[in-house]
Formats: sequence, structure tokens, C-alpha cells
Amino acid sequence: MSLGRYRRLTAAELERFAGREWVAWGSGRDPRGFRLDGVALHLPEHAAPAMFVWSFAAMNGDDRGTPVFSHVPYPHKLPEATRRALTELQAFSGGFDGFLRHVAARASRLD
Amino acid sequence: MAWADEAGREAVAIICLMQPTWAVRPRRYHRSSGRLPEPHGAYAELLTAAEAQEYLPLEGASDDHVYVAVYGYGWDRGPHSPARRPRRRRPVAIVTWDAGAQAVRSVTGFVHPFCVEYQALLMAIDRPQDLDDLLDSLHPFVDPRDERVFLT
Repeated sequence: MSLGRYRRLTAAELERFAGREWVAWGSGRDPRGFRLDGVALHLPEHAAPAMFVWSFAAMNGDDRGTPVFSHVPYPHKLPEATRRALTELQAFSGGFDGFLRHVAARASRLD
Repeated sequence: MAWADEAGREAVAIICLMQPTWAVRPRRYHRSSGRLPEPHGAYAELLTAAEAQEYLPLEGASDDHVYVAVYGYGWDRGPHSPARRPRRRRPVAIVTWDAGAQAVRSVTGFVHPFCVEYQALLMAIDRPQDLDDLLDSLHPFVDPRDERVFLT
């Protein structure tokens, strides 16, 4: 079953998250030192996409990443199988590259 | 045989009290998807639209919505635990309730992996009828506690 279509979040979308205290972890680390990446998952006939943002401690990209934000609009308007698949995505912790592969196996690329 | 009836009732009561945590389910939790949180492992608190805006940067927070933040109790299982650092505890998840539509507008999770079990719970409950029903559906995992508005 295809969940829908997905795309990487744009720089403009990610900028809205940049510098927020909760995208950072570690004692005394500057949130602006964290790189952000993410995915918008457009679900069929759904009002707004589900969004997933990951945070990377290393600016050069050698960090596997940590999920810092997942957002599912109107979950009760989604079929149960879709909700279950989104719950799996919310729980995914195998690194951002693995997350992208996980999404790509369940949705088609939009961009 | 009255004593036997009484003993039977006591036995049933004891069995109910001995229910293990894995057997506890919210009133309207209808399927098993992911691991459930520990009972009374978190509490709910309302956020103002301005407070919620910090955590929902892609949405315009509105006074027409109710923002229910779920916070883990932490190591001492108390909402006012002495923090190691004097800063506000982050919510693990926020449920945005659309009061006009009487529907959950969104479920948003933050602190991985602590949010995972609460997100799974929030995604698995049936559609709530109203705000009280939403909070009631989260029992016994989330306590309906709030300093400004007592949610019951």
C-alpha cells in the first residue's frame, strides 16, 4: 500500500525550526549549531501533509540524526492502516538515511 | 452461602487490583500498535496559543484551538521535580484540539524517544467527542493535571 507522495522539506520550511531550543541536545550546545532536514508526506485526500524533522549535531553531515519533530494533522480522518504506518515513522530511530529509505519504500517521490 | 458470595467478590476485586500494567488499556484504545507508556508516566497541561507557537512553527497558533501538552514526569515521577537546570521542561507531545470542529487538529511529537509511546497512544485512540473525552481517553497513562485549568 502506498502512503502517498513525499518530498524533502525546503530550506524555507526548515528555517522556521532553526535555532529553537528543542531542536538541540547536549549540555550548553547552541541550537544554531544543529543542521536540520526533514520530509513532508502528502497523504491522499488529506488536508495537510504529515511532517518529520530531524536534527544533526554535526554540521558536516556525518551524524545519523535524531528525530525532533513529527506532526500529523487530523489523525482521526486517516484510515487505520495509514495511522499505523505513520506511527511506525514516528517511532523510527535508525538514522535519517534509513528513515528516507523507509519512507521511499512506502510512498512515491513528489519532487 | 453468603460468606462464599462475599469471598467471591473479594477475589474478583483482588484480581482486578492485581492487573498488570500491560493489561491496562485506555477506555477507547482499540488496537495494539507500538508499545504503550507506563500508566501515570506523564501529565497533561494546557498551553496558551503563544506558548504553543514555539513548538508549532509551521502553523499559526490560534486562540480558537486548545493545546494540550503532554509532559513526562521524569525520574522522580513528580510534575514539580527539581530540574537539573532551571529551565522549562519540554513537552514530549502536543495535541491540538480544534474546539470549533470538535476534533483533534494535530498530534505533534518532540522528544525522541520519549514521545514515541505517547504518539502511538494518541494515534491509536478513537476520535474523541470533546476535550474531556480526549483526556479521558488517555487514562491511565496521562494524568489530567494542570495548574491553570484542572482538566476533568
